[in-house]
Amino acid sequence: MFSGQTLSLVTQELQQQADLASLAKQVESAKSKAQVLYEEVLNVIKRTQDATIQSVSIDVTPIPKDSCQLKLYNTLKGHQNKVAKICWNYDSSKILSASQDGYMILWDAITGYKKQAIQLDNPYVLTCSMSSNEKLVAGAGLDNICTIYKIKPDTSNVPVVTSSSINNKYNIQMHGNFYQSIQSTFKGHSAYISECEFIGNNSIVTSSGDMTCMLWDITKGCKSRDFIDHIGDVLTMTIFPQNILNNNLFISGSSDGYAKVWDLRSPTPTQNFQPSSIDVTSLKVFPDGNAFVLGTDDGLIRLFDLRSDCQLGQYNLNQELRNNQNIINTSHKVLQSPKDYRNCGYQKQPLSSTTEKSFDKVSLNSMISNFENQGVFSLDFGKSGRFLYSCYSEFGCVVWDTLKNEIIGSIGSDHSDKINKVAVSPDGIGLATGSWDSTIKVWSV
Amino acid sequence: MADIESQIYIIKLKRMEALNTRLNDMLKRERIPASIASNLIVNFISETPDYLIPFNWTLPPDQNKFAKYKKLKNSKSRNKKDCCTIV
Repeated sequence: MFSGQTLSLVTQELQQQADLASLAKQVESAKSKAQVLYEEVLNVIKRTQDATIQSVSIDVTPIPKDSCQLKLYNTLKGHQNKVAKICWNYDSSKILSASQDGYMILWDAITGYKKQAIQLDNPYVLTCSMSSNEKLVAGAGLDNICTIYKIKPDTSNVPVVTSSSINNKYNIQMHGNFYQSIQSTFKGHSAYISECEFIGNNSIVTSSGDMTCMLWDITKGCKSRDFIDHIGDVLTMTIFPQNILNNNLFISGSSDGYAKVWDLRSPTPTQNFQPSSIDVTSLKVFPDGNAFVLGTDDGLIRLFDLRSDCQLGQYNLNQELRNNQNIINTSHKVLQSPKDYRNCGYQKQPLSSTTEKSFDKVSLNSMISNFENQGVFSLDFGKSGRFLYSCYSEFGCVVWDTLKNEIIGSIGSDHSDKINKVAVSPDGIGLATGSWDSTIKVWSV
Repeated sequence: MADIESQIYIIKLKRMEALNTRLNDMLKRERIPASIASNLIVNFISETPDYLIPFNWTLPPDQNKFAKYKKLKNSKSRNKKDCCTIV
């Protein structure tokens, strides 16, 4: 016989077990519902995907290959380490660059002179940005902090080149000649900051290896919002072209393979795209703000449309190389010179001394066969979006025809090391390439 | 012990429900067919002048600030040569 107490304990346990079982059942049913919904979403996307950009633009006049040869106007020399990021100002007259030598430099893009050098608190900088009124610049990187610096107002129209800055070129005691005034330091990320972008003059968005993005208010000097949804390091982030419709939007790409579109006013993403599970390394919004390209670590670039919520096209470097013998024949231009490749140590297979001298077709082909992992470093569109400039980890800066899905040519073979950033000026007339050879080159027609 | 288990289930259930609402939102999203979106992109490209594509658009020389500055610099250096004579 059970006592009353034991009986109540047993019933309680039975009740708990029943609760657990019903909870488990609910979870299972929710799971199966999710599966059904997911399949439905996939079906809807499949139905929307009735054409590709290539099939629609079949009647558009093709652009002849090698017709995008740009002239080199300036080589901006001054950094002493890899250029981490370059960005143009709003009127396309200046370029801000950040380098791992611990400086940000503001250049006059037209004359090529330095306008200002900003000494950074933390030399391990990965990214930089400039506010639209050009009063503030931001730098961030491996110290997990986003630092906002005030910059001296530009009082003169004549290019600034002081004799002291030239004399000090190789002098380490140069600190006194540089202007540094910190406006605010934003601490909050628990891992490196991969990207930062000003939105207007008073706010900045940062993306980080701690899987989050954050919005900061510069006037208040504090964080306004977290954007948490990624399940991997946020490796890249970019804001939409600023106009009345999109000035609250940004897009982030992560090592979880997702690209997420966010509205600054909402804590959850407004749109999700997951083309594969491979790291998203680079993103760029199409100039009209309704589509974007996404570069992954395997060297594929995909074009997505936000209105139709699906993929419109895919740009595959390896496939294009295989299909197009012309490109391979002229690829010494794209590949820069073999000497440069050897110097910077990204030639995986050692070249014999004979192949170094005569860079014949056989060795070229064998080199190309090694390029299996073509990570995309950087992407940018021209003013109209017809040309897509993309920097590959081992292939320099390639120009794609967005509509025809073909390589038109390449830019920047004069750089002696990898080109890791490309940026087209807002007016669409200038193009800048930043390289590991510590220089920035400015190109135009 | 049972408490923790039920809590885990409850969290799981909440997560799944959040996922389902998100999937429902995705289903409800208005989409235009990819062909129309592509056409809109093609139209935008054909209507926007892009001077880095010399094949389609020619930049008026007076708007090319880079070439203008280069010309100015070259003419200045030539003038210097003219006025400097070594005897």
